[in-house]
Amino acid sequence: MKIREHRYEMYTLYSYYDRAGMEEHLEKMASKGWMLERMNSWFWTYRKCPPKKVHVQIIYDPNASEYAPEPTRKQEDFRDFCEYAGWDFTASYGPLQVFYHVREAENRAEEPVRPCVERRNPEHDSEKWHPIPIETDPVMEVEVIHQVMKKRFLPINVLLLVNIFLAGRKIFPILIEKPLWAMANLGYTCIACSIFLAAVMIAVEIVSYFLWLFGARRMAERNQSLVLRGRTLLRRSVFYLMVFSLIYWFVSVKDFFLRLQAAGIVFLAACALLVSASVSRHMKKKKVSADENRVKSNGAAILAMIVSAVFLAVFLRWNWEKDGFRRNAETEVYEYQGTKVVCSHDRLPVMCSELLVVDDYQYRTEWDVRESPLLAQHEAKQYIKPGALGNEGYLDYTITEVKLSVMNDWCRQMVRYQYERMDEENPLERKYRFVETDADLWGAEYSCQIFVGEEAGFRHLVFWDGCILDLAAGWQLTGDQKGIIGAKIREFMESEYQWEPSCVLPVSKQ
Amino acid sequence: MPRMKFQTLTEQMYYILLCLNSECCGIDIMDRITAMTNGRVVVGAGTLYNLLEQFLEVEMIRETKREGRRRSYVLTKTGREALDAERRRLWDQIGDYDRVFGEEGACEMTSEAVPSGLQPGCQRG
Repeated sequence: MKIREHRYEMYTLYSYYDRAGMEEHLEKMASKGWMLERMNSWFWTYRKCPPKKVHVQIIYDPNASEYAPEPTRKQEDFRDFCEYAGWDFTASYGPLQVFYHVREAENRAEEPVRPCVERRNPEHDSEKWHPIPIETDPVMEVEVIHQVMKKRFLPINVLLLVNIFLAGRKIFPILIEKPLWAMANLGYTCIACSIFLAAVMIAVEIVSYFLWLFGARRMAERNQSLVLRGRTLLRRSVFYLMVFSLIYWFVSVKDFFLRLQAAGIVFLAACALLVSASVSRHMKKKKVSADENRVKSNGAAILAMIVSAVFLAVFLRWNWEKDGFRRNAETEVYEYQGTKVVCSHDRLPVMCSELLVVDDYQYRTEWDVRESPLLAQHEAKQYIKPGALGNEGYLDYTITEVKLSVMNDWCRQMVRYQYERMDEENPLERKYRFVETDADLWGAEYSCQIFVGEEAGFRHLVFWDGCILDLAAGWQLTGDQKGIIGAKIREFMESEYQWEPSCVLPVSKQ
Repeated sequence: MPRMKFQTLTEQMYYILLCLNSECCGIDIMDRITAMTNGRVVVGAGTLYNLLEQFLEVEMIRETKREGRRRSYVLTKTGREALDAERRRLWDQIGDYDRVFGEEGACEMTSEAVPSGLQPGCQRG
């Protein structure tokens, strides 16, 4: 069996300022035989070695940059000083500098060469002695850390928070306005929740940082240090929830186009990151100045994004031209008034032709399914297609299957609640009223029709056990028509998903 | 940074400047301070490096020679003035203490902790 020589670990699971957390982790890894070899913006690379007891110290160097060719003369001098004191420079990325100090007494069975000093993390460290820390002036230490955080941690996180807030204004209202949709789209809901939690996490980290800063400044005046520690558990939970949500969403989403879009975004980001990293590495090797490197690598990343976006757009356009992305139904493509019309003909549980004397081919019919372990929503739309003859109304309905019986009542309330919310803006005389109708006509437990003020609307809500039909027809339904719809929906529900939306309509040629 | 202007010196700053009374290699200062203070004051490598850079910037010390990456420094007139000012400040503090508690009380207290001959209040008397 091949022994692993290297190991990679994502260190962005630690807050940028979580020095204590990172130090403790690197010490633990060294005791397991993994020494840090190098690091980049995301990962630590370890090298296999005999298990060692080491002290690790992370220093923030405000003058260091990930774009600068390393090491500068000043950095070399700094590392020489540290090396003399027993701290060996191990790896760095930008201002983050990692130093290892081998515990001489334990590893070589000798007394430590340097005098003992106060332990920095007494709760973690059971050793009697500790090497002299690299930084022994608490005031200077706090201010240097703050200088780096002002450049890095704070602007990035505040920007992220603002972005989440702006994006959240679009994402979160759907969860409130359409709770059933949210339950049926658990992937989307999970992503929304993890984004919300990420915002909470960022806010908590910013507040924690400032609390540390004020505390540390006060203690530094008394020549004492305050350990800087991040919220690792919260950060990890949010990270794993986000990854899980994204994977779940990607797997569960039924819409091919959406999946393609998501894959496209990942592709764009990966292209940009890859190009930026390679350009930056190349420039560093060529000893180009930090500013020039920054401009060129970011420029290359933007260029890569533009090129890959164009490539993606061409690819999507080509796919759309081919079949309008609807691979599960017959698609009709025709010209109408000089415009290209892509019209799908999905088979629906109930169609206009079963209720009226019409030709279904004069309609475009769309069938959409979203499903989670809690709810399944089947959405059917049948509207007159552009340029078709006649105007005999339409059908637009959603069948919600409630998979957990305990959610039955809640879902029924939510269907009404969705319309009540929509109604908030309406004037008093146009307020929605749910007027109970004869459920027997539908063969259901309960049914009602939505009235707009005194006027009967086209929308009906029909409840069976474990099933909700929210239907709008473009005309006032008769009792017989309600009976046909009820029977067809029950038949559909009993078919246990043997339903094949790809069973396209028999095409009646005009 | 509150102490950037070096109006008052911390113990570490004070001892670094004191060590540079005669030309000294930057790295050796760590050992000198430990020896001078019997291990009471220790200066971390990073702190020492940063302070030397800042002292150079305000011309409290100057670089005398560079052998490879080993750089040596010596105290300048400005540095000496800063040290003297700090010394005066410390004496003033001790003087104020003595006025409050009396010199004998001070000697009793310090004799327990400080080796004889190094008790500032007694010397002064």
